[in-house]
Amino acid sequence: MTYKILIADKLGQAGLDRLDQMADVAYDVRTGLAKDALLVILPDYDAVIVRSDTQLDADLIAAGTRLKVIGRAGIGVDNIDVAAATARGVQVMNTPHANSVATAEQTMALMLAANRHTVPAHNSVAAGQWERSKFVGTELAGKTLGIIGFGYIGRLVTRRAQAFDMRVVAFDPFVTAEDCSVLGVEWLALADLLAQSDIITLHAVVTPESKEMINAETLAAMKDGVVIVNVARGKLINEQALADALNSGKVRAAALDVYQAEPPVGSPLIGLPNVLHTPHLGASSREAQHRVGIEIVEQVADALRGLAFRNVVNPVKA
Amino acid sequence: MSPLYEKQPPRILVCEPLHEAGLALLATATDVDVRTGLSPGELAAILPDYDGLIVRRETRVTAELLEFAFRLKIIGRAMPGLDNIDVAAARSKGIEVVNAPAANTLAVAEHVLGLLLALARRLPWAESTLRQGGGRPPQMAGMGLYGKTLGIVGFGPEGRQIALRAQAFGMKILVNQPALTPELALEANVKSVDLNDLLAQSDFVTLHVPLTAETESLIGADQLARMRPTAYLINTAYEQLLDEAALLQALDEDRLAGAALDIFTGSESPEHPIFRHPRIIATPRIAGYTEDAARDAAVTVAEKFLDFFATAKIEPVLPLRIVPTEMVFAHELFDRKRVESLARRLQAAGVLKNPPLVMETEVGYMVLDGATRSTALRQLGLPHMLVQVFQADTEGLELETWYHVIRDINKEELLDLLRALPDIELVPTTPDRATEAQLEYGSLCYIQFVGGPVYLVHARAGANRLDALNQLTTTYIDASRTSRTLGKEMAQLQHEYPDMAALVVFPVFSVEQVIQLACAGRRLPAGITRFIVPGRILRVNLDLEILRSEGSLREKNRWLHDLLLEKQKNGQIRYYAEPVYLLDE
Repeated sequence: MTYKILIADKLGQAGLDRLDQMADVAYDVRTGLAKDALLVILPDYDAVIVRSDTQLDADLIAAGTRLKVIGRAGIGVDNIDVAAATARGVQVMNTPHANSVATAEQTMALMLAANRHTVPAHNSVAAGQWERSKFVGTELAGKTLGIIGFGYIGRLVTRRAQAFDMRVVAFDPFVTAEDCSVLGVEWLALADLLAQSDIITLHAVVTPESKEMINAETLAAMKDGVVIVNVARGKLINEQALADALNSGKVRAAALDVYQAEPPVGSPLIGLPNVLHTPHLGASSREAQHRVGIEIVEQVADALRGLAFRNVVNPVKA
Repeated sequence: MSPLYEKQPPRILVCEPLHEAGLALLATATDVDVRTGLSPGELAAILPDYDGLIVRRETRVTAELLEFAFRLKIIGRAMPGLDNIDVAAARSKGIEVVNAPAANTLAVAEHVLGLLLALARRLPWAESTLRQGGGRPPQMAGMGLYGKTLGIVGFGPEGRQIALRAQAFGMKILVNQPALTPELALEANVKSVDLNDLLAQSDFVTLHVPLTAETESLIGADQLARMRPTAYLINTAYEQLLDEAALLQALDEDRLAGAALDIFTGSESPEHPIFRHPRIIATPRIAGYTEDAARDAAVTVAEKFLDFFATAKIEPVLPLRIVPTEMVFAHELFDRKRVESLARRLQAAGVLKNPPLVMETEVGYMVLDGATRSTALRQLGLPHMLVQVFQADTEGLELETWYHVIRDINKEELLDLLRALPDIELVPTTPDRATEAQLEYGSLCYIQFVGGPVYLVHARAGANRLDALNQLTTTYIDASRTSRTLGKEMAQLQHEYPDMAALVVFPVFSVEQVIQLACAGRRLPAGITRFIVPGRILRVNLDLEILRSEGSLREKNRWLHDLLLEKQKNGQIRYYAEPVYLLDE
């Protein structure tokens, strides 16, 4: 028997190479399809692998009549209607750790660049200017880093930030103060974290509670001149409130890899001088893409074969 | 206020912008005037009114300017370096010069990591794609740091801070630092290699050497050709270290993946190709440029000013100073037998003939020469100690290595003693291979027995190398008589020491390594290092009662100053340019 897998978003070559080695799997790479086109072809497949671009809503999941597994090459599954998948017995799985290191590294890259004006300084030099006094930076050493969402990535960021002599504090409702303290991290209630942090970095998942948790009210509770880094999910931030805080100077700088809508056309944040933008590249190191690709195709193939169900995010009986 | 200045506080002129934290500190004990933007003429006109002057990088403090500085006692540069100050002219007029040497070390280390990450994740280009409205572009996937290799050329304070941070990213560190001791490399968990190997094996290379005749154009076409085509080069140190034309060529021929430059020769001309190169991140000399560094520098210099005016360190005649005993620390272990006999002799004589020579560090006065004497003085319970302060940085300071002649002990007994040590391992070698093998295998030292075997001494796996070395030397020093020697000719040494059992030959250390270890609270074995300085002050013959008396440091230093002035007036200070050979007490 041959399982058919649709690769609906760009997947690392290493993952495709691994699929080529599997005798019982056939696959098609059809990226960038509109919903209409997907509705037409989905019924042919046993599994679909996406990253963050394809929106697998209830209609598409219903159309996939043979569909048994949805694989997300990455972590966040907010582009997948998990409830609809669960209702139709479709297993949803992700690769929670494969790109964590890349995400932690991007967090540090953005934090350092935002504090040292690296990108505007480079752009100013590229424009033939020599304006040193505009780019007086701020050091990480001795500052307090607040981590919201203290999971695997938060811990990887912690280890790196501590090497920069930062004090690390964390808020996560599912983590105990003891879990934090063994890593030299102080667990704080959200209000205390907001009040004490010089830099705040988000590593939470999107839930009804965390959606737009960075809003006018929480921004007002932060230190004046705070720096905000987000490589997690765009939906954690109310973009208009952040833009207002950036314009008023309440927030000194923001470094953002993710947005409410991607690409972030029309976002009030685009074009602000004190925002450092990257286009959702947090997970995109070559090494991480390599690992993510291999892990997701192996997980999906094993699930189709009924051999193993790894990193499943919804409660479906196999 | 200090009695010396009780009539009016010292007047300080600050002639470049200084961080407010430094100004606030100065204002607690001095009269501060901030006058920025003065022309050289205006500065010369008002300088005679001031006791202290604080500059940053712009003001040129020349010998001509100092002609008019009748009252000036101290000049501070609120930054690392001293290149805009004529230090020799100032010192010749008895004016103290201070700076903030370490103020931007962390700023530079952080910017280097920032540039490294910006290169790996292509930040400026990722940003411009997004600002231009694009989504995620192809070919934008970055490079991970985990498991990659960072090569640090020059392993001083900046290099060490960079290594610590890069290690947290899971990077392997190679360093190139001439004469880095195995101890230091091991402590920092880095591997010391030659420059060519570093270039060939690194995914990122960053430069942190001083600019000297040897390091100018350190990285040229030949060196770039050794680098991997996927590698990145970072330079935040000096533009002269790097042949920029060769760099551009290597990038354009795909022999190098990219570069990040914080300094470059083209910085004066906007047409320079470095400005817009698609694989170069260029920042306008901001590596050391943070508010934190400016504050630290201002506070450091302000503290030095306050300290200067409060304790009145007076050294216009000779660099002699009376200092608190607890601020004097050794860089080596001491030989208890020597200390005890010297303490007895000092006590009996009641005078200190030759003061220990020390170097001022951030953590106190490190003894360069006279560890036995300073330890003996401390054992006598004296609250204060007379020292000669070696003033320049490490220039002019030379370091040689003493070897140890182990005497008055049976060879077999000695060998059994050493074999029983838990942290070391003896590996047989031959006399003609020993020096070379020591270098190649990073041994702690080698031991040549009279008429018998030669062993390389290795630290056992997992043992701290410095601890192992100290274990070895302490053991034979306690069990035998040990003499120091500069030669390693066995025949001659046997003639000189008929009771010799073995010779221990140590590798060469550098001045910087010894300072770094000592400031970190580590100690080298007793009697290995031999510092040689010009201008050693001898035959001071200070009465120990002066050190022991109840008087304050200020009173004692004032007394010392008057004594030296008196001797100078009477022509009782003679200066010899030659190095001095001094027989041990």
